[in-house]
Amino acid sequence: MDIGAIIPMLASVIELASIYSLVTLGLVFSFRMVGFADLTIESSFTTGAAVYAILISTASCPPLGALFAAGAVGAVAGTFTALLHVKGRISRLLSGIIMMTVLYSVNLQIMGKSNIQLVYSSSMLDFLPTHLRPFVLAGGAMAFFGGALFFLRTHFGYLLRTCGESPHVVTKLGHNSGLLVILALAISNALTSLSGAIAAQYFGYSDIGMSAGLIVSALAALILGEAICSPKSLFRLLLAAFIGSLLYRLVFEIGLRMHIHPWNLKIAVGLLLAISLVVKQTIVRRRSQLLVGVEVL
Amino acid sequence: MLKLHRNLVLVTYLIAAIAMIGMIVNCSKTQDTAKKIIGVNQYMEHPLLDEARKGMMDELQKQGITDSNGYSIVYRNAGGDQPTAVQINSQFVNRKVDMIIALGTPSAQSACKATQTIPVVFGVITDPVASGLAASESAPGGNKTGTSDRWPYEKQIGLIKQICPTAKRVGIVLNPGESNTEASMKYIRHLLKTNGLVAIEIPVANSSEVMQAAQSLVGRCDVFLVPGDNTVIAAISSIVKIANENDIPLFAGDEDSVKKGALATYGNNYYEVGVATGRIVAKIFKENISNVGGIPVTVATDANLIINLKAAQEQGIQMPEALIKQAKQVIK
Repeated sequence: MDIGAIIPMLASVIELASIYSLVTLGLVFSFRMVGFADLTIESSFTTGAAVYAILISTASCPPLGALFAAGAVGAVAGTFTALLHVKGRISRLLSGIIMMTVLYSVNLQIMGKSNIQLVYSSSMLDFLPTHLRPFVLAGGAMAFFGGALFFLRTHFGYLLRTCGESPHVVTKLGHNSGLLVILALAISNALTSLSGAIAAQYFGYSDIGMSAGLIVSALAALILGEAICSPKSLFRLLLAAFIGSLLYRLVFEIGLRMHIHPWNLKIAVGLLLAISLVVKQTIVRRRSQLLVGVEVL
Repeated sequence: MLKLHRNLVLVTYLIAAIAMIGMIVNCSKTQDTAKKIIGVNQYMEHPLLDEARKGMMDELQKQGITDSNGYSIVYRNAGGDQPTAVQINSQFVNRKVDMIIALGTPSAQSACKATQTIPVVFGVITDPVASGLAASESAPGGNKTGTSDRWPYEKQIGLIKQICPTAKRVGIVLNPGESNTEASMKYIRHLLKTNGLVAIEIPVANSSEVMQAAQSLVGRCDVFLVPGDNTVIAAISSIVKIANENDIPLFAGDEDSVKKGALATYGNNYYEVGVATGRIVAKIFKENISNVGGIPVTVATDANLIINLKAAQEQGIQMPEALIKQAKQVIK
């Protein structure tokens, strides 16, 4: 096969990676900005897909409205997790675990069954010619990354970053650090839900099991990206999140093409992660650069 | 010095990137344009799906859909990961395969989303209509058709009546998060009702919760019934244990569960479901059918009675002689 076959392959990698990059961007807000190892996203991804699917299939809501609703519900989920920690004084990990568990039932309630098909429902993606789709999806993801960059560079954004690195400074400046955690988690889960909703229209269905293992894969993508472009500035951290998502999907694509047995695909991912972490710890650290963001995991 | 170091890292990345692209080109080279390519996308490693695939491959072999006859069958397994199933389908579409065979619901749904032109033959789908894969079973419409592995529920519920005529309450452990379960429960609930039986359902989220759920049903039900639920079937041994300890008759839907200690069932033969899938594939290629959606969905009808006498003894049941005579397989 000629070199031309790479283009459609890259296109599908870019499409999937763009969709999932929003989850990685969400991780930047929770894991890296405020230092909250938030496990809620493991379920709020499906929540987004569920809200989108039910609105499209039963309420015949316009796709854009359904996407917006999915994001909003995700934000609510994130807010609850943050409230459990800030107001309920439950540890961060546990707050996430609680919401992750609760959301599983909520997701089933929203959908009313475990799987909703959207194969014949019109989606925004169907109107696009196939060769434009990767550009539109990547462009959409870029817009979100740009928005995040802009937001994090505002006064409020700096406070958010300070909140993770040295929370007492925020308090001394007369700001409520709890409120900032709530905001960060709301944004993070809204992005994750949105990603789930877009995935539902891309996959053609919403399924209760569609986010199994999402945290691991999103975190793997982020770490992979960080190893490659050392995040010594905010811009580079966000770049790392996007490039990491791309590489992660590319590794899967290559793995599948090389006929790696599905049992062993995760070994490949594990190896890659270990290598990335070693690279990050040795090369990046040796340069003794100040890195942006907290490292909770 | 620092600058040199940075350049070194950059060069390393560049080499890695080139190597990656080289690998991809190399991997894509295997395609032979003269051959008809069939892409098989199996959702996960599962005994029943594997059995069906084996049946399908054997049938294709028999019908002459082989490498030597100008066909190339590419098998991919998503390992139970849904994004991977989607990725496999888009790989197939990019390779311009001549047909996608999708085994398992998520693989099939995303295949139908990925292409409206390449024929899609789905297999082992419990409820193709509810999954959105077929407009109706007689005419699925569009570019797809396939097989359903719906169990012979009427015969299975009939067995409860035959073996335990006095039973009233049927305890069912199920995972509401599975689309298969949803589909099979639709039939089971209806049939139990028409047979004057009451269903007591206990939901679980994963197989480690099954034992506790079954334990909680002791004293609240007369018989156990296991629906077409992969989570519960995976933990069948824990229900067998509780059934044996408390003398509660255990009914299952699949043959394998009976071999592992359930009383009896009319089992669907998954090998035959695969053979039926293979038959559709061969038909499309041999008769050059362009209107794939006009081929009706094949529902497996071939059911074998299988009885486990050892389980009957453990669970304190006297198996009717007439049933034992009818059985295709008796486990002693």
